[in-house]
Amino acid sequence: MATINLSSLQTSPSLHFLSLCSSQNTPTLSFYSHSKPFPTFSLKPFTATVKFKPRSFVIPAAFKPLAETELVTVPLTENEFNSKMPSDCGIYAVYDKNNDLQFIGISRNIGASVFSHLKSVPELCNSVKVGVVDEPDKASLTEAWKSWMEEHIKATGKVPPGNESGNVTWVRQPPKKKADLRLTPGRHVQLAVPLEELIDQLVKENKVVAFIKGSRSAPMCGFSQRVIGILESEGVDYESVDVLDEEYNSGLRETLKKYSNWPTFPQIFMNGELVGGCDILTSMHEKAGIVVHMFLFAILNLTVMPTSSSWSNPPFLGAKNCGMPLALVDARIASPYRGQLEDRKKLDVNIFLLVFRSVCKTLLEARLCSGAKRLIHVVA
Amino acid sequence: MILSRANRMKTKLQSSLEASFLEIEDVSHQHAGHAAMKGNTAGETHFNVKIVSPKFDGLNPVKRHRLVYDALAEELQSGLHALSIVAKTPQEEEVVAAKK
Repeated sequence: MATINLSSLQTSPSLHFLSLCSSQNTPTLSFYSHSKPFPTFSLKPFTATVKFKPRSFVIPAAFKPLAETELVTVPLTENEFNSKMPSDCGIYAVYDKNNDLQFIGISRNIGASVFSHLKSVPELCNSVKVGVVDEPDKASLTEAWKSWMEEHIKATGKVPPGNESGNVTWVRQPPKKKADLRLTPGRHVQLAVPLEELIDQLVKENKVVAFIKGSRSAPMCGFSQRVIGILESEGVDYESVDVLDEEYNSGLRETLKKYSNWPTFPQIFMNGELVGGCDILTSMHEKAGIVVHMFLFAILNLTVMPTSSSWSNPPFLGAKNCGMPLALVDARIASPYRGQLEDRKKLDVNIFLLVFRSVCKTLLEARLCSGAKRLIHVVA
Repeated sequence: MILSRANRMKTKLQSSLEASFLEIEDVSHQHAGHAAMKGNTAGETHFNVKIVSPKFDGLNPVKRHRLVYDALAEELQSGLHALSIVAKTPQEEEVVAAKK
């Protein structure tokens, strides 16, 4: 029995019309798109000499058969990329260096999909054929994808390796949700160290910890839910602790309130320091992106920081002239930290700038936040 | 006469933080059903607080919120469950007003 893995265009696809042919060795097929679920469809096995039944679907004429589509070498610069790879709905076929077809995908944004492939498997992405589908409904897209698949199977008798089942090279895996952390082994187990110390260890050993009501997969209060939503959307790797879990986190609520000197939940810690609750996290998110804040926190926790006088000394002066550290201080995101910035003793400016640039670059590459773009602009 | 929690909060924040602007909105009804509210009959549990005070000057958000929480410590002991806080200095508020 052959199966097709569809990472569908919408969350609950009903692609039963997809009676796609497959060869005798019953490969399974997958196509790529952005959304998470991967339902599996069962298909009837089929002979390799494929003959296609006429279909009731009208295939939109905007894309050509695979063989007639122009092969575009994947451009390396961003500008070229944006001009050559449409951000339209459609289908695309990726070829490797030997011009072997590796994968046929379907996407709501061809450019973005190809870009993400290029990032995840650059060695397999040499050139691309693109077919824009004018009527971007699910049925037309699927038909278009099928027609290319069928054409390829007919010509070569093979399914593109990336479309075979079990091949996850081209399919974005849904992020695995981490489990919530538990502070204790259970309510009835005598703790060797006070709870307060466990909290202290936890927040210091993990970069970002969110103490929430309910679990991260099922938050039980609107504020906790918003916090989780923000952290997830920023792509932050964080730990979560359910303060309502009386079995494994018994007594946590009261102890944490004292530990952090903060009376409500959720509470978010970064680098061992309380960042605040939902309100503060939300405003950070709106202003600059949490990742930039995390970075600022990281800087502030460095033992080496500039003195106020060193801001005006070379080589820091150069940095200042190009907007740094004013970028840091005056980008408003940092204004609450102004005092802290100037308190620090000493800084190896070059290291600082190096770190700052590389962090911004990483952020930018990961397209994590617009704040990073602004910051890298002034330092680059 | 027993004052409502909102009124008590207003008085406390006003006196301890010398607020130049203070707005308190009871949004308890929005949270009446949520899990942590089971068995809580206090009624006034959730508030939005907008406060402008010169005492926030030079403080980061955490410290500002702490000032508010400190002023309302008794209320938090007696059933006040959560606050949504906007804490600004008069200067920041002017900037916002100027932009509008």
